[in-house]
Amino acid sequence: MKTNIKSVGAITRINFTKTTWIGYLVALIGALSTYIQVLIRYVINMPGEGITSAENNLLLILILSAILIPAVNFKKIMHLNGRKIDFFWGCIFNYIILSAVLSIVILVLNKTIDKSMNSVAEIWDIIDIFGWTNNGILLALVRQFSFYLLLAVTLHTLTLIQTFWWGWVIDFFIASIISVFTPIKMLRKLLVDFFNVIIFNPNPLHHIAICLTLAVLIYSFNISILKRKKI
Amino acid sequence: MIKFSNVTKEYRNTIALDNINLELNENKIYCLLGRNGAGKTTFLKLIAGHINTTKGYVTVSNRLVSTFDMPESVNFIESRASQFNMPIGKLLNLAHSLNPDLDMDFAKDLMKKFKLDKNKKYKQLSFGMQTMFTTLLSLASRARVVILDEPVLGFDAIMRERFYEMLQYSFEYNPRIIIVSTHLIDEISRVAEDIIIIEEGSILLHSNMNDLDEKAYSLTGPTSEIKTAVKGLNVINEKTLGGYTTAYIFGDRITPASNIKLQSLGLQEFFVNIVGGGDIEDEN
Repeated sequence: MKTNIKSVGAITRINFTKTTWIGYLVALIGALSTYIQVLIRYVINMPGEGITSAENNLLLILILSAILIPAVNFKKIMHLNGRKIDFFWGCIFNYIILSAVLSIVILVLNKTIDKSMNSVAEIWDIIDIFGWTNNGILLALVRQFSFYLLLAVTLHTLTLIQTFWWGWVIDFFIASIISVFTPIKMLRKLLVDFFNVIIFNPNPLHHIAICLTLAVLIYSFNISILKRKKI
Repeated sequence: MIKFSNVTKEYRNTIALDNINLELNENKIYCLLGRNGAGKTTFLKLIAGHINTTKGYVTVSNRLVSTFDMPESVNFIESRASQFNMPIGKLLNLAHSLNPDLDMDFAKDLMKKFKLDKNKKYKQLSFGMQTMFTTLLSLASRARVVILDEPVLGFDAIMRERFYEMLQYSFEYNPRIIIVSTHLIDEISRVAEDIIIIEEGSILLHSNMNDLDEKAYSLTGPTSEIKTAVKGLNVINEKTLGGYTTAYIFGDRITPASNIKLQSLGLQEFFVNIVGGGDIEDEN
């Protein structure tokens, strides 16, 4: 299947503007509500417990986009005689751009607004909790980018397979792993180790390499899914 | 160009198409007729590679069609398919970006002709105008095969007239295989050259429209004489009322006795009788 650059660009653009606006809106509302909470605490001079950082909400843009693009936009693009291979490339550009932009925005907000709000309330930001900011700004950026990309392509792939019976089997399998592994100590350790590798990894280069490799592997699976997908 | 070889399509326990064998090679406007649920849309989706066959195979230009390999030479936009809700001028540009082969001059010309306001959002258009727009996108494509599924759904009489003009104009401008699925039988007979009738998942008839004009007729007269007259003929249906019978025939014309009246059948009358009556042998 040959790719058409113009078509790939059009798909990336339409994915950024159509349907995914729901993600932007939800993220904005979430972020604003956090800022309002901090403002109220400041006005009434009542510093309390910690508060989750507003920029954590921005991840909703990525999460909702990765669900809505394959769930809603795929069919609409196909109904305009778009090509599956162009959809494949168009979407990965969406997730690369979104992951990069969110990494930058979240890091900038973390180093500016969050720091200034620390006097009012303790701000809990996932990039600090996960330890991604421990090795300098540049590595924090790349670690975020790698993980966000992995998150996006995983959600995209899981959404895309929901029209197949085996998609539901995979859902069931994932749910089973979590529910079976969690109560059994030995298996729970495997689960913890997995999350340590893809999220809490103390070695930034290892973390980046694992996330990017998994992202490439999972997304390449999409070629096979798209070929089988009915319209 | 399009070949169905022993194609069966099943949806769970329902057989939508049953062992279809058919070839469409010439550049013509083909009219696809069938009652609701006869298997028309399944037939069209298989050509476009939107779905896979259960048994057998479909080829377009000698290439096997499947969801794995959707033929680029086929353009199929379902009339009821959901579209991005944006100004249709922008939707046209998007369609052009997705298919650089789209003939934009032709599309814009058609938009003007059919008074489609490019600034109106897709969902602001009436259902008929939405269908007109998607039909226009299909006709403006330079695909070798264009499939139109119920393209006149929701059209008033004037819009239908315009649509048939547009169809004729598009075919003359760019001759290719155009398959039109419709319920408005007599109207499409003015522009279509071939007719394909699907009934309960099988091809009941594939015939040239001129042959059909010649071969589809009715004989009306006293029941006993009609019974004698139709012996050996391909009777697709019979209706009896008060000692008089009308027999609907598909086949070579006869010269009837003086008290038997012979009348040509319109396409609609033929269709109603053939799908309401018995099977006939495929003349092609």
